[in-house]
Amino acid sequence: MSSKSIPGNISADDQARYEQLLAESSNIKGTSQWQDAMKRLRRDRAAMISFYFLIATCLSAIFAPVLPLQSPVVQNLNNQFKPPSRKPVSLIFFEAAKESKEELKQIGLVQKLREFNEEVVAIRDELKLASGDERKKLQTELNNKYEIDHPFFKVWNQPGWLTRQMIHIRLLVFGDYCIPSLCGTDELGRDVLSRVFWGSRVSLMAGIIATLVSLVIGVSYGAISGYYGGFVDAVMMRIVDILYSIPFIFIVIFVMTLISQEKVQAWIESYGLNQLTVFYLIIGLIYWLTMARVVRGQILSLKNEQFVDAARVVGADNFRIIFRHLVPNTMGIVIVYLTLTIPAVMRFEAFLSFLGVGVAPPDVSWGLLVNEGIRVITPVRIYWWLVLFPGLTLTLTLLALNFLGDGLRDALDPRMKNK
Amino acid sequence: MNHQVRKLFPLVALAALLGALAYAVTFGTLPPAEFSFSNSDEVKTVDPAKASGEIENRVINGLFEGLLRSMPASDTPDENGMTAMEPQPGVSELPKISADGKTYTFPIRPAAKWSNGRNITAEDFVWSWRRTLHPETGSKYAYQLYYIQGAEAYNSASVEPYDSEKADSEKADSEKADSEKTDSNGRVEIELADRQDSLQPFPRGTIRRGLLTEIVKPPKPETAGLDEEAAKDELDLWRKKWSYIVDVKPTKDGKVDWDAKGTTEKFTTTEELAAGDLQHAMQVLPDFETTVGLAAPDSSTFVVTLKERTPFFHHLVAFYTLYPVNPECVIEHGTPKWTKAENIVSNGPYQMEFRRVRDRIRMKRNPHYWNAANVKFATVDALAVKSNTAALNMYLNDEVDWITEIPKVMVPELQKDPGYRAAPALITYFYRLNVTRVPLNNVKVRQALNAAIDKKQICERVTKAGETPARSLVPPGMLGYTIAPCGEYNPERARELLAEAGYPGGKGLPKIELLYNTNDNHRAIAEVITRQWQQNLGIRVELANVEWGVYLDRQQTLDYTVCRAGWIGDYPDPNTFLDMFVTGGGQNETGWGNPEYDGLIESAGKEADPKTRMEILHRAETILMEELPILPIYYYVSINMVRPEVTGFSNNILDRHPLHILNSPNAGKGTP
Amino acid sequence: MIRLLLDRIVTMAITLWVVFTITFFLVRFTPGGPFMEEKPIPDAIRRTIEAKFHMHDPLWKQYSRHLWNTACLDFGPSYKMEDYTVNEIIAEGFPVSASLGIFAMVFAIILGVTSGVVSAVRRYSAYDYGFMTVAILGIAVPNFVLGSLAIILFVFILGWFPAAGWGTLQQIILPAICLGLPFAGYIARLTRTGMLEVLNQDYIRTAYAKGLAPVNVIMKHALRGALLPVVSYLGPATAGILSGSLVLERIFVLPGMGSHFLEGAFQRDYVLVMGMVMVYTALVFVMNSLVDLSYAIIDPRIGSR
Repeated sequence: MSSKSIPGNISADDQARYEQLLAESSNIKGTSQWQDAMKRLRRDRAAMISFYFLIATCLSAIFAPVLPLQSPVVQNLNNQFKPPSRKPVSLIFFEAAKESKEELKQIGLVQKLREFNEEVVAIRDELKLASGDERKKLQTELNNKYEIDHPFFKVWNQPGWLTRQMIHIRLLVFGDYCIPSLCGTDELGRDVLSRVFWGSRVSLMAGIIATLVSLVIGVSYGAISGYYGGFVDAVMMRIVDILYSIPFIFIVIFVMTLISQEKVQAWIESYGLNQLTVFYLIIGLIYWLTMARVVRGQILSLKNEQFVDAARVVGADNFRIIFRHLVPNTMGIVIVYLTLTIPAVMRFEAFLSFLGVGVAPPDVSWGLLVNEGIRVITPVRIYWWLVLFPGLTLTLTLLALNFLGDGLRDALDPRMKNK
Repeated sequence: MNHQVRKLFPLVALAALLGALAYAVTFGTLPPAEFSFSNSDEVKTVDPAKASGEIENRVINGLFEGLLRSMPASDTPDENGMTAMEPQPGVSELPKISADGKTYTFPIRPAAKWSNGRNITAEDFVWSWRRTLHPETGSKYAYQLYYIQGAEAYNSASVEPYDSEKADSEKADSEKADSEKTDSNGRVEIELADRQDSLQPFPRGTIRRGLLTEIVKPPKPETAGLDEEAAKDELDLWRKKWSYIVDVKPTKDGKVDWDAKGTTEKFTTTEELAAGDLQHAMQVLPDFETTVGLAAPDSSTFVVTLKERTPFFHHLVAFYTLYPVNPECVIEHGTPKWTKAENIVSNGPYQMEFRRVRDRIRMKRNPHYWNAANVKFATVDALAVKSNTAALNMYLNDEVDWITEIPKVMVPELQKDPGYRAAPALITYFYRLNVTRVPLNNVKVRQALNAAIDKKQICERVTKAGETPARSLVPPGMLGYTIAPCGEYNPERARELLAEAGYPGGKGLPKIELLYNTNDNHRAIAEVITRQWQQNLGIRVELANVEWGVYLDRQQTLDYTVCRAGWIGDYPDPNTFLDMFVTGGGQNETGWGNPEYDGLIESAGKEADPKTRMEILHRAETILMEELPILPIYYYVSINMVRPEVTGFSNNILDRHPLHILNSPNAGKGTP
Repeated sequence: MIRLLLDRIVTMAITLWVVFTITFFLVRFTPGGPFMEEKPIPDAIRRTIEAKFHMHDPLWKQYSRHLWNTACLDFGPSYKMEDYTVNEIIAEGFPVSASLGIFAMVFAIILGVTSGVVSAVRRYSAYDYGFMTVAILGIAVPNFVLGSLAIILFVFILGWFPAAGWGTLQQIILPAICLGLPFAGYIARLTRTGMLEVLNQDYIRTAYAKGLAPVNVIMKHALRGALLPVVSYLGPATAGILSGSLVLERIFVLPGMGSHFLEGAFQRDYVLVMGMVMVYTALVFVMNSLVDLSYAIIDPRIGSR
């Protein structure tokens, strides 16, 4: 920097000092709102522990098929109500004897898969040589084999394509080895540990999907209402007020019992959905109200800012202004309310599954596990592991979400501390 | 805000809080009953005419009593620990039966009274059974009364116009003195629409009686393209448009002169169509007094005329649908208000003290009961605990004396408990075989399938609630009857039979489909049986599960190969199981028929001597078990847990445990 | 005041009407009526029953009749409980749920406020950490997990309480505690926060300076300000207690509104369920309004509306 930019007569010392100051100042980096928040968050130990715990839970939920767990659905009536133990177990597949004189075979899943693949190859070979009707028949047989006869379907509950690939990886890495029943077995001989893991998928999925639904609906609704203001806003908020005072829990229970009727289920299947997805959507439809209110408040205060005018001048239409400019600026408070919604949703899903109107067997969820546990507890035999392990996992997850939420709230908006 | 108000507010809030607390505390002060048991659910109703279910049975048997009552035949159980039940005198002594078995005369006990002190009369029974048969009551078990002459027509409101030819021919070949009852042709009773309360069938409006000369029907609507429900709706609407032309006979002193000349009147059951001389009537029914076989010649004699000899009729009489209700009570309060504790008048060992939905029904001893001196407990509670785990916990915690259901998984544990009582029930679980389909048309194939099922394994490993493997259709334990067993489990023999049938080693056998309705229990059993058949016979079986409605349809239309079934006996007589399988019977649903079997069932129905009759039925069942259109799997078991100090509780096939013969050290200590 | 009341009543009417319409149409448009039971009953009888409930009338007629009856608070006879009308079932269930809820609420308030105050006054002490940990657990543990574990511990292992049923005080204590504990936790946190804020105010310092005993200071001066957030929480707390009682009435077999509601839903007793949804909505609404009213009374900063 040349001395020419400094006006007037300055001594050489002063100039050096100015230059030094200038150099120092260019080293100071400004922090954005987010970086500020992250710094504050990092200082909150409880929140950080919770954060890592939640990451671990999510990872174990996503990668549950890869983990060497026992089957969550195969019933083994010889194995009922075993307390937690470290007895070794492996993935057994009960095979119906093809020849009439053989005993019931017990073979490992790896072996079964190998046999299955051989059968498929055999059919494929035939297919190559066949033609016309014969070909069609073989083709359908092949499809059936994959859709229905595949050994995975007997051991896990309707795994999707991605899940099946993960199971393949698991078989490759771990073979038939399974972690023993560290959490005991339940009424039908199923391993509680694996059910807890597979249940986490459903419970977390409920949390995520329902929250996303409430996010999308709530943010859009609140943004539109806040931006347009006036009559539109008054009407929309009145609707929210009315909906707010409805205790939705009871309506949801009512709706879920309607849905669990067989005729309605068939109707749902015909649209390609399944009961579980509908369940998630319904939960999501309840929690958008608070989000809408909060976003509307933010938008109301933001819409008179200069950047909005600037966007309008440039020629952006309303839609663009709302969703490209205003909404991103509400993200701070949206995240804060997200951290309130996710545990509420998960808790609600567990509540409904416990009552028997939520997730239905053969799907698993933590609430359902606690329900199954409490149903068989008598003074004669206290199967404490059936209630303790799913309950503990649920509690810890909710606790972690709570702490993380508190931490995020404090980090993003210190003014809201302790609200 | 006013400063005064603000100062007062904390006090007001505190007072409200304390008041609420006091209110809450008042609910915690219920004195215990001398005996309490857990009913598996809340009763739907205590009205004997409308109830249907075991749960209602337990309560109604405490509150009401019929002409006869099912009681233990002896005080000591047999070698299996079972006691047979027989109908013993209740409100009436044992009936006198006429030689042709069609007329039952019940002498009503003079000491039998209602809980308001009034004597029970035969007219009470006529009125109660009429109410049960009345279409508007909506009684689900009214068909139990169909054995009575004219009852079915009355209940289904089916009237036929007077057929003078038929009347003449009947008069010609009838020798009976009771000519009024036989000349029931065309007689109707019509209730005009001038009831006291249009929603209550009793008290009824003005009744006109006469001969139905004609039914004028508008053209029948087209139901071809419609689905079932819509078609039924159309036909219902059409039926409502009919008008009835009746020759109304004059009534003198309450008696109708059927031979006098009457006045012609027209009636319709639809209000909108009533105009001019077309009168609005509530319903047009066959004339009760002259077409239905119930009569009360005097206050203490009740006479029932059946359509034909029905050897098990006295079992039916002991069933709660045929219990009486107090006419004045029902008329005064209407249905269902008369069942409220403050209104109800009953005639059983107990009367209702109070009832709380899903909590309990508290019954207190009825001082007017003819046998009140022998009723030990002053108060009995029927708790409605739906969760059987909770019921078990209450039992183990000494909070209830008797529970009627336990969680199935606990059976192995609880079998060692001194209070555990298991007895076979009148319910058989079996598989139906469609004998019109190949390969099941071959009796050897059916016998092979039967011999290849290890029923013991199913009971021990699958159902695990103490069920007994079944080798007959009729459950054991009926008084005087020996069951006829089918072949036992023998895989070797099964393979031989299959080979003899032409399918050695299972080769060439067409694929068999096993149908069942969606239920975990049925699926588990089906899977095990499939495995057993595959293992023992080498045959392939495909499982198909459908929902209940579809399952019933397919069973009825014989659109299945093998399907699961069950049958609950209505009364403890083999006939209720065996008469299902006569050729073309409505409940047969297998396509099987055997003239010898049909003949045996028919002659059993006509046999007067009980012992001979049982032998005939045994022979019939032997045929059934040889030809095996069904595969018996197991008999259901009824499990109760009763405190060991309770006496008077008997294991029986009906799972009936009359409350008034129970006793325990608690009796007499109860509520002051 | 009057205007506020009027506004509230109108809003309640609209809300109830919305709930009624939603549930009514959900029921009517679900395939399979309430009488398609397991054991088939003869057709003619089923149709008689359906006619009694006017199920074959045109839809708008059913709707307006039902709406009128509901407005007159006559919910009609129950579909499945043949001896009862819906009003009677609700009337029988209400005292049970009310007493359970009252015990739970009183417990929650007493425990919550006390621990919140103690925590705030003895900040950073063992009490503070102890109470706040319990509070956090109470908030995070779902009430059915709590109830299940409580049964295992207090009924089976320790044997202090009876297993299930209703009628004596002993049978109410455990469910009430399980129901109230989460709310106690939340109230404790709110009280603590509120107290901390208030204790930092000048007027409290003045009070101490005046020489008043700490108990006096807390009870007479600080508490009122600290209780404001608690009072406003009572509204949502009531809704929470009503829905929490669904679970606890199930576990402890209490014949309250919650178990009637659930059983009605499982048995497809639609009139009962609809009626109870309306009752619950009205209850929550009234409680919220009462809370707003008391808030206005307590807080002198809120001018007259």
